[in-house]
Amino acid sequence: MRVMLVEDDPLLGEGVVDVLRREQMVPEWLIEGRGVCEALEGSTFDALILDLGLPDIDGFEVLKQLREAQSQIPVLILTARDDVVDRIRGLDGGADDYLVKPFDNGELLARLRALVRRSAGRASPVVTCGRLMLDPAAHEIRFDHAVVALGRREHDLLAYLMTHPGQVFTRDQLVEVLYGWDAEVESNVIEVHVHHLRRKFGSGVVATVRNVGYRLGAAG
Amino acid sequence: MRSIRRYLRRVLLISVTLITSLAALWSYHDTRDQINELFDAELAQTTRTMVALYFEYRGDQGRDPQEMIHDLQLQPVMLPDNPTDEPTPLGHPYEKKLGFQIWDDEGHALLGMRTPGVLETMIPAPGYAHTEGEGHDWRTFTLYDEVHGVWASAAQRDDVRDELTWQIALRNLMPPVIGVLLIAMLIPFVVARGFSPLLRISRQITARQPSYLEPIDGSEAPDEIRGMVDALNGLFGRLAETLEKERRFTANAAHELRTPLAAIKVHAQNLMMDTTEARSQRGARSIINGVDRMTRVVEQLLTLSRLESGEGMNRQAVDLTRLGRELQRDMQPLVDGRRIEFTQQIPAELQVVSYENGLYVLLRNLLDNALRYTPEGGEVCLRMRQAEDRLHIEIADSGPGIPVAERERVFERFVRLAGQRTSGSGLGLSIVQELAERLGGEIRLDETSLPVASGLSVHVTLPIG
Repeated sequence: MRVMLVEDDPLLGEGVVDVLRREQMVPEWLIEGRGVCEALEGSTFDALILDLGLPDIDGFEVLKQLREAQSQIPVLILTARDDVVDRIRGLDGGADDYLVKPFDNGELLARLRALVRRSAGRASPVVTCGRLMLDPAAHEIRFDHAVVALGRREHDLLAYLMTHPGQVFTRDQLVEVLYGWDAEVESNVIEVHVHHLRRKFGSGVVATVRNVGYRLGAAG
Repeated sequence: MRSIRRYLRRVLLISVTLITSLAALWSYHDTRDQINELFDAELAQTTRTMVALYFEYRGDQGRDPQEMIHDLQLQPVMLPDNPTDEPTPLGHPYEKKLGFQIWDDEGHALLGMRTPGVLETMIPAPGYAHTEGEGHDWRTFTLYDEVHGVWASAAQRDDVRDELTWQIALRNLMPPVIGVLLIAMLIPFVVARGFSPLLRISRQITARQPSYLEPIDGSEAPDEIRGMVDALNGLFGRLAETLEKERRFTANAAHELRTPLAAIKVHAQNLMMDTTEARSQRGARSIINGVDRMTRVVEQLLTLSRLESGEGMNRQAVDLTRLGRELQRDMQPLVDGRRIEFTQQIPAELQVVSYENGLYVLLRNLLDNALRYTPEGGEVCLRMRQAEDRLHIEIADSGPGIPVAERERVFERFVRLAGQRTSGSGLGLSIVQELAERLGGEIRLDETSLPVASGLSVHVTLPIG
């Protein structure tokens, strides 16, 4: 899961990035409100964690710009402002959830998962595609009810395709999903992961769309 | 004055009563004077008429002058006692209160219509006089008739005049007394009505919630109150502004305290799951950093709160060289390991009288800022000099500087400039400005005076001595 964090405090930002990484999410961290919209445009982010007290532009303003640009990304406001007025303003301004500092790491993660699930139109936390079943909280993928041991990136790749069924992703997009912006990876890294997945689940699990990229396979 | 309404009621009532009483007294005296004049003139007239009549009877007609008394019916007529003093068909009750006497030159009585005790002896001087008889005061008029060589006196009881005066005065007094009574009844209503707008506004204010600071509706207020309403509305406006500032401050303070708290909590939870020594070390360091941040914010908030209450501000002689040494020691942790050149130029003989503690906190905050924002290998300089009766302090650095447009804004609390990597709370410059004001000085931001590409110079001017 790819998450953008907008937080100006270096110490807290580091901590949250750490939390997300431990959960095998791929975080990107911005310290300013400016540029958030551009960074999200046409990207593969699943959620945005937004601080309201930013030094350059107000978090509410970022949210407004985002929604005006028709971005559908789920937004979790993470702020020190605990006023009911601010909560209402945030939620009415287009945020999907609101968490007041200081918070519990587990709660942050659970809320993020719930946001992503709801934005995909699913009520159940478990994602089922044919014989595949994904439990995001447990980081498990079952095939015919049996847990399949997967490497971290293999799991992330398949989980991403399962949560976006039918969508086609380019190789570059998938690299971004798995490794984030700054990662330097081998050019064939996605092919390697796809190869491994096909070996474990059968060749139909990931479909290749010629000259474009990959999507979840019909056999999945 | 506890109550304007009570005061007005009382003062108006007392003044109206007093003025009416004085008017009545004056009217009484005036009436008495007029009546006295009238009666005196009449008395003189009567005396002259009597003398003329006496000689008329005695001389030309050769009659006994006593007949004249009879003829005139001046013999005391025993009129029925009439307590009302009203005239009757027989005459007027006042008639019995007259006396008359004529003497020759030797003082022998020639003719008399006397009342015992009055006019018994000749009054040897012409003109008006007072005498007593029958237990009453009498008014007399005496004249000497030079043609016939006789003295003549007439007397009239004073109480006749007094009674008349009283009656006239009482009658004159009635309308004003009724007027006073009516006014006394009207005053409370008039006063209450006059004060009703004030009471209405007072009720409006009393019914307010403490946080409701909208202006009072003064459109119906009379001119006298409008000034007060305007002043109150002005006060409400300023209060609302202050409250809004306080609210913003609280929100910002909450942010500044909650953010490091959140960071500490996040890192502590991560630490619980860390398995490797290196990661645990890193987590623990982050927690300590967070606690340090928190400590600084709390200290700065306390400093601001102490400044606002004016605590610990005593004027005394300050040894600036010693202050410089202390600051050098305080700032060492920020200088060490960052290859920053921190220099001081303080004239050895410089002695000022100021608030040592305030000056120290001010300089420490400015140096802290300068050192934090100056990158590795940079330069920070503290200069002091005296010009006339002012101390000029300059703190110059080779940091990124502050754009001209932002130089006002940075003094606001919790304002940090965009693009800052340094985790300041945004309180330092607020503290400095508050202090500069307390010390009676001024603060100004400028381009750095060091020979470097960019940087900030903070100039503080303080009065000394």
